[in-house]
Amino acid sequence: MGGYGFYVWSAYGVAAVVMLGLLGSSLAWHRRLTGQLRNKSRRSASAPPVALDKTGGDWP
Amino acid sequence: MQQLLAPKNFYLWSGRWLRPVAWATGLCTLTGLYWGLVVAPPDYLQGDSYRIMFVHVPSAWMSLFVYAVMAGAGAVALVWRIKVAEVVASASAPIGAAFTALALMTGSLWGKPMWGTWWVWDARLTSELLLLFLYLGYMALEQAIEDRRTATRAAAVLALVGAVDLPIIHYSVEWWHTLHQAPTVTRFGAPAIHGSMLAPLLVMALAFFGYYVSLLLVRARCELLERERTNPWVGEVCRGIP
Repeated sequence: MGGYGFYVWSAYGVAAVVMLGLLGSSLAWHRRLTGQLRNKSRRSASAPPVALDKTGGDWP
Repeated sequence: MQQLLAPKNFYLWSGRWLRPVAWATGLCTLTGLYWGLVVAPPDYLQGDSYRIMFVHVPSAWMSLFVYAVMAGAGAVALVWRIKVAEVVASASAPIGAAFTALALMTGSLWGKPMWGTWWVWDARLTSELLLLFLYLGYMALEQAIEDRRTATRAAAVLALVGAVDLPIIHYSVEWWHTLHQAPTVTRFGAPAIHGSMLAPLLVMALAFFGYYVSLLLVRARCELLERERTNPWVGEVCRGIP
């Protein structure tokens, strides 16, 4: 790099770190969210409407 | 178009486009890096230091472009209250901030060997630094308001007011005497940069653009899931029910 190696590689290095970092954190965010929401949705889909039981009321 | 603006449709559509865009971006990145770092000849004045341009210029371009998208989507969200516009504005902010920070840092790394200083308070550098503060202010304001939709609308007003910085940044090198060079690619007539350096620059610009689009899709999808989490379609798509 003709004596400019430090500056050139630092520039490319910092670009790689920032861009890959943001990419990684965004993908992790999506994975975490879909995981959470999948579990939540499964629970509400499989659970019977027990909430009504506790109120007594007219639930058989 | 109208259908695409429904959150669920946008979520499914963006999921289909994400992979091809990401692959094209990766291809452009590898091509651009090889072309810019290996094939392109050294500059007769700046030697190899000019190779910083291949990350510096695309970052700077994208810092302006992303801000324009953010402010534009913010305006649409303010006027028509379209949810997809809200998430596009919101998802763009951290990506734009990253591009702005990169433009400043790589510029600094280029300035030290060429100008003899890391930083000068000249018009181009200062207005670009202001852009970084606008992005950070946008994100801070959005975080400070509990309700996501209200937060996005409030931040959109800030983004629109801050948009006045965009022409200032662009014309700063012409309006004021600065250390920063004038544009060489976008000026009228032939570009003042040789084709052997212009071609890899444009490929890298394309790669940065693709990176923005890919990341925008990922982050916009996250924003949609968070904002719509009580909506039945969210549970359905997360469980793989189309």
